[in-house]
Amino acid sequence: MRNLNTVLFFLLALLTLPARAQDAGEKMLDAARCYACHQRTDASLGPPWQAIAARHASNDAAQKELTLDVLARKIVSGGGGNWGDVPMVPNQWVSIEEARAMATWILNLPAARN
Amino acid sequence: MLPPQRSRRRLSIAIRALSVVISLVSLPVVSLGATSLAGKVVDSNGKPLAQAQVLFDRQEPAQGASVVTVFTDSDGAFAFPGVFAENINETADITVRSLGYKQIDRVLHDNGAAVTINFVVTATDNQIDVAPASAWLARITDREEKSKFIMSCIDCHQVPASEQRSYAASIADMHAADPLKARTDSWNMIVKYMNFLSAWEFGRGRRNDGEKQDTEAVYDVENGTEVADLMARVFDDRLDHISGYSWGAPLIANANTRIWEYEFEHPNAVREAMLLGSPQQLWVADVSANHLFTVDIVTGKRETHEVPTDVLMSPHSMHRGADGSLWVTPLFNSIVGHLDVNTGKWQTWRLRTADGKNPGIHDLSFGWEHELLTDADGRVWFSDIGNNSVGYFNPADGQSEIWPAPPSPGRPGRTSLYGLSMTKDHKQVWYSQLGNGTFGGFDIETKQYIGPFQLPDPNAGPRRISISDDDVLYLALYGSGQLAEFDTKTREMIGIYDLPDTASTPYATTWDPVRKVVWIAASNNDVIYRFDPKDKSFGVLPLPREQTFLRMIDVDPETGVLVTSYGNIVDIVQGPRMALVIDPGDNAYPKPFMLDGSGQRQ
Repeated sequence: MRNLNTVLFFLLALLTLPARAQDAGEKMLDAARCYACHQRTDASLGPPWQAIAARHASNDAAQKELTLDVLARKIVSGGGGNWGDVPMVPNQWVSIEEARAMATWILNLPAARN
Repeated sequence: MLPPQRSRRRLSIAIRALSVVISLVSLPVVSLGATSLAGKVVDSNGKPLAQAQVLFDRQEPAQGASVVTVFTDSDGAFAFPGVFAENINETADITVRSLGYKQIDRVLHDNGAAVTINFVVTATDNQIDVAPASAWLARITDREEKSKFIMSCIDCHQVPASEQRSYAASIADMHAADPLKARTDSWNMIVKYMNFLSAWEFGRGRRNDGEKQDTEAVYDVENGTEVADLMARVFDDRLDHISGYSWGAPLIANANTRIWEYEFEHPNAVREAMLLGSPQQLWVADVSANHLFTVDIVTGKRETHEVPTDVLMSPHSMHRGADGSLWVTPLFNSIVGHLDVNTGKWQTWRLRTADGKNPGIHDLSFGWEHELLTDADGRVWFSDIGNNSVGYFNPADGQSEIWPAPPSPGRPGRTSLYGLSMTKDHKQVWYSQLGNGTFGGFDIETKQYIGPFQLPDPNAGPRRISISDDDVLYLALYGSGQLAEFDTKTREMIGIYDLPDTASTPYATTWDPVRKVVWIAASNNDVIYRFDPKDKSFGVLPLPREQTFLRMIDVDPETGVLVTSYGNIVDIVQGPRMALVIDPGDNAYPKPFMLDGSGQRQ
């Protein structure tokens, strides 16, 4: 039931406390071992999250929603296509709701400072 | 995509929880019935299919087991024991599973108290639904290369399990300009990813909450490039078609063989399991936390039992005391726990030797009845995986001493002293060493080592061992896929036998004192092996699903049922989280194991 509680907590947080939802997304990235392949600002095995945010930056609400959906599904199912010839691993214990929280945190990262 | 049964389970749990939230009343239990379940399995020509599995994956909440499995007889007929409490209709998740066959039709007749299901199956060239991970390792033809690869990767999970196979498909689907380079780069990435996961798992209890793993610090596998190169070479397609796999020995299942699987909700890292107490409960160690689970095998009721220690113990190995109590050892630290399961009284020891060392306890001294034996002074002996030593502690005063194992000539490098058994006279302990293909004995009176004895393959990887009522040692050779039979009295090897599948990665042996056979828990091919020392023959008992990463098998001393678990230790790796009870159906023990399909005692 812990897993479910996490999801319920997140859904509640998303409705009422946007700042806490952001924190929840970051915590989920750690819990799902995403740091094995990704860092916030630096390239490691996979692209840095900041670069993902920059690539998908958009002011269009519909486009943002679509990106969120694509990234969430990529987190769960893995696969390749956008960042070279090394596919991403699937994360099948991550629920789609958790993946959306993670993707929201990633897409809201501020751009890198030069 | 999530496997259907898991997503269904999740959904069912979510629906249950939601209704609790909305109505603030508990969900009513499904209506009580008393339904028997039987039927027949035939192929498309009407020919009966023998020794096929029929699985009933039950809706939560179910009384008794999460999944009950039976096997067909020579007429293709099957019958689940007793009755089920729930109603069984067209929506029931009841399926046939047999290597080389797929189900094409199912007809259910509901006659009220008796449900009959007839299945039609057809032979299929693609064995993908049932063939185990090990089947794909037939692509590695060099035995030494194979055992080295197994020792590198299969410590913690099956290879290539469905996740790696779907990853292979992802690589193939990239259609890279240089496919070999893409495969090599991708599998190199996986090696590093797995290193990170491994460091995370074994770092449990050592890092603070919220502290991120230092990725750079853990990317240091010795032969990672070699592993990636091998995978790039042999996993060069989508890994979605396999044929020609055979279990390699006769199946020992019959119409009375039954498997009861009990699932534990993720996240957890179920490790080992044992039936204890009166009435019997299934006790299960969760290596990811500081607790054990219990399941009432009749009602299915789960409970969690904290181990009273101030640091994370990570319960790993379980041993039955002669009085039916439970001894638990940790994943890597110095804590031993003892529980009187009937009173709930715990005693724990945090061991430290007189000269200031912290033992890394793995096994306690198993005897021929697979129960904990002590020496003449009441001391408990253990294998020390951290200091590559054998040692003892005295439960009366907590005193402990260890003796480092002698080097294995010509086999330098790091190794760990892993399995442990005690001879019938309580005067010797025998051990295995995982990393250097070596084993040996220790004389408790003289404090002298006996041996060491080397297995031919340095990557043989002997793990959990057991000893017979005649002091014959049985070693599961994880890397080389063999069983070694060694007489500790004459100190001579009786034989080293290839298992029916040499990529099966046997984790543990258990001597069965009544059947006079050895049970072997295979990690990479979803079976249990039975070895008969009289004619050196093997039998195969297939398990009802994939990724049954088996750990130790315990044999219930009263009824002879086998108790084991799927120890998928990496808690974010896919794979079932279950402990299980198996009645081989051979009526070998005087007292039958009476548990019907509803979880009720018969």
